[in-house]
Amino acid sequence: MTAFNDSTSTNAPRSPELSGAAGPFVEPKSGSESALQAVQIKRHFQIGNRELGVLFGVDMDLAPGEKLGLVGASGAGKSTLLHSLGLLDRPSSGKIRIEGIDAWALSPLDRARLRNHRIGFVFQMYHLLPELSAVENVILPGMIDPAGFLGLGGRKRRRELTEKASELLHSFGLGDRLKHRPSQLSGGEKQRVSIARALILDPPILIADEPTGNLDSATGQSILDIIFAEQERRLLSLLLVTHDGNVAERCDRVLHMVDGLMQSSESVAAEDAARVALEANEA
Amino acid sequence: MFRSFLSWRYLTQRRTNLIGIGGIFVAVSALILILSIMTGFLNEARSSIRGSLSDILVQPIQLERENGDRRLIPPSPDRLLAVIQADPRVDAASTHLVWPGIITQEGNNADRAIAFLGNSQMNDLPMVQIVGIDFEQEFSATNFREALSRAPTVDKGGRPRGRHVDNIDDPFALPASYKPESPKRLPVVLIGEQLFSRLGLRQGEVVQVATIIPQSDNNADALPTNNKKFVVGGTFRSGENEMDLERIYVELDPLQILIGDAREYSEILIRLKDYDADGIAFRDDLRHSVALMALVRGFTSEVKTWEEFRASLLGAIENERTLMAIMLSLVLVVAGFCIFAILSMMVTEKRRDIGILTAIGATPRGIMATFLLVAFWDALIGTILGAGAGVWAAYKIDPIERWLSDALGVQIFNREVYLFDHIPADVDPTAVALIVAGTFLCTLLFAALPAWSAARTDPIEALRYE
Repeated sequence: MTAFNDSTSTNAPRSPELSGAAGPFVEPKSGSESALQAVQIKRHFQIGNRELGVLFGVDMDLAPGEKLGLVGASGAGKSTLLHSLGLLDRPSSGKIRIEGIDAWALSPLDRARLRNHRIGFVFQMYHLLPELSAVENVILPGMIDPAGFLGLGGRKRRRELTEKASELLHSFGLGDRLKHRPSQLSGGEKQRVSIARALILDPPILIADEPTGNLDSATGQSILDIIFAEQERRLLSLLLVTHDGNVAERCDRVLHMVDGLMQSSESVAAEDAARVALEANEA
Repeated sequence: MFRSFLSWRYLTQRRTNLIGIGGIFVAVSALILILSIMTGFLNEARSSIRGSLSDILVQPIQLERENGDRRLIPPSPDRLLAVIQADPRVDAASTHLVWPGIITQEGNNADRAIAFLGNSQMNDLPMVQIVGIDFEQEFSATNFREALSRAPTVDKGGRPRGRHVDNIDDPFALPASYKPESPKRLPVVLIGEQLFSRLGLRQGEVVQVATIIPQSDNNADALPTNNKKFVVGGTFRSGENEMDLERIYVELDPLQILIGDAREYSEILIRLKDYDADGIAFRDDLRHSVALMALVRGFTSEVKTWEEFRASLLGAIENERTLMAIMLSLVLVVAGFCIFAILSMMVTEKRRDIGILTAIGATPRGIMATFLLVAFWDALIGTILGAGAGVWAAYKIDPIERWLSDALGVQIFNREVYLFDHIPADVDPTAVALIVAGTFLCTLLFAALPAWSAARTDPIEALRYE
């Protein structure tokens, strides 16, 4: 086992002393054409005697450095897919490859490290820890070393992380908010802290689940600006889940999810046109 | 790294944890304090019992049996003493002649004293053990000299309960305060401090000591009694309540006169040079040799160590200590439940955090460790503070008791009952270490279940949880 070879997946600026500090685990397959790939993902839940299907064979491919929008109505299965892609929920069948690695075939420890190092998560509800200050929330992923025992002896690492987090928060306009608790921050500020947390370990993949869903349009716009700016600067592979068509338009490519299946933009457009026509006729 | 960081943050940010720390603190300090006091009592009791009994006790059975068994032992202790004193392990030996009697003040004649026996309302009848001794022997074989010179306790009015003899080197000399009414020289009696105080005696006062004496003629109609006047020479304080209430010391000769030369001795007390090293071996050797020489009847109960003699009392104290330790350990279990409740509550409250941590790369094991660490900090702080407070309180128990007694207006520790002028407390480092280790074990065991349930939390459910 060797350490990550950063150059294979992305050209994003890295601080090797930080991203490599947690040690080696699984080497991403070099030359992988896909940063994040879902192959025939199915997910059904057992509710009593009934089996409830949510995903019915979803295929998806996120290329390195690509901005991919995922839109769909509520209940279409976006969140379930996102949880599987984020390695939080094991799909009933199918494969998820992160930089060519079959993530669900890994041990729980390796999977946790993959989640920790390769994927940044931005949630709609920010999900910051209320006991920690802004800067402490940001450094938290860096302090998690799933393989460490008691995680002692990290004073130096914590200092480095704090410096980096402070810089990041400064660049997001939160320089005077470093020591503030989440309860003392506005929604937009919380989301910026959340983005900084997702990026602290320079992951190649960023998954954002309705990052503006809880914000007014102006604040939401500024959050999207930050996300897209960072994507561009770091050449992140971005998967952005949204229900806002305007937001999706800023992506390179948009996937539509309907009833647990992925549909191409063209077929969705045709369906929409048909629905509009039908409604016009009925009227 | 995040485990210790986050667990410490959870600990300091959530006030409910203070309850857990407080619970552990109280349990640990109470356990240490009470066990220290019990150990102190045990040690104090052991030393006071040992002192009055010397190391080895020989009590030959001197009864003549009616079924024709005439194997009587020699009436004189001389041969037995010679055997004992020939042993190089022996430091000193002292013979006792012990006889029951009744002590009454001058003016109450013996008949009247005996009549007390038939009065069911007279439950304060001063029945005593009259012990006839040779004081020089007694000084060398027991701590009798210390008992005579120990400062008397004081009653509620601040008056001393006892009165030292005039000359400790000759305790049976007539006291200066004695005003002889007749030219006949009276023998001196030394009285336990408690008895002296209860009867309201004074030094130099004349008392009557009455007793019954054994009959040689089984067909006699009356139970012969005898009584004799003694002068109160002073008091002794053995440190053992019973003894100071029920025992009087006189010289051998007057006692033998009182009981009509029926016995020469009842028991021999032996002090060894090194009891801890030789006690048991010496006892066994002595049992063997004196039985062979027919100086005792040959029963094992005739030669005993002081610990065997007081086995039931020592056992009771030791047993009480163990019982107390077990009962108080339940306090630890209560503290454990407290931790369990607090941590369970925290895991429920922190479900969303658990989901977030999982999403950013924490493993279930890491999450379990985080919550276990919260319990560990609780235990660490609670135990350190509790052990410190417990040990401190054990050393300062007397001022604490006095302050509490004053504050509450109740006498918490009755020095009259125990005859200690202080509350004995011995801190046993092993016990403290065991309590600390037990607390950690208990806390972590009780924390394991909520921590495990935290580790099993489904991150999806947790993130949905608002």
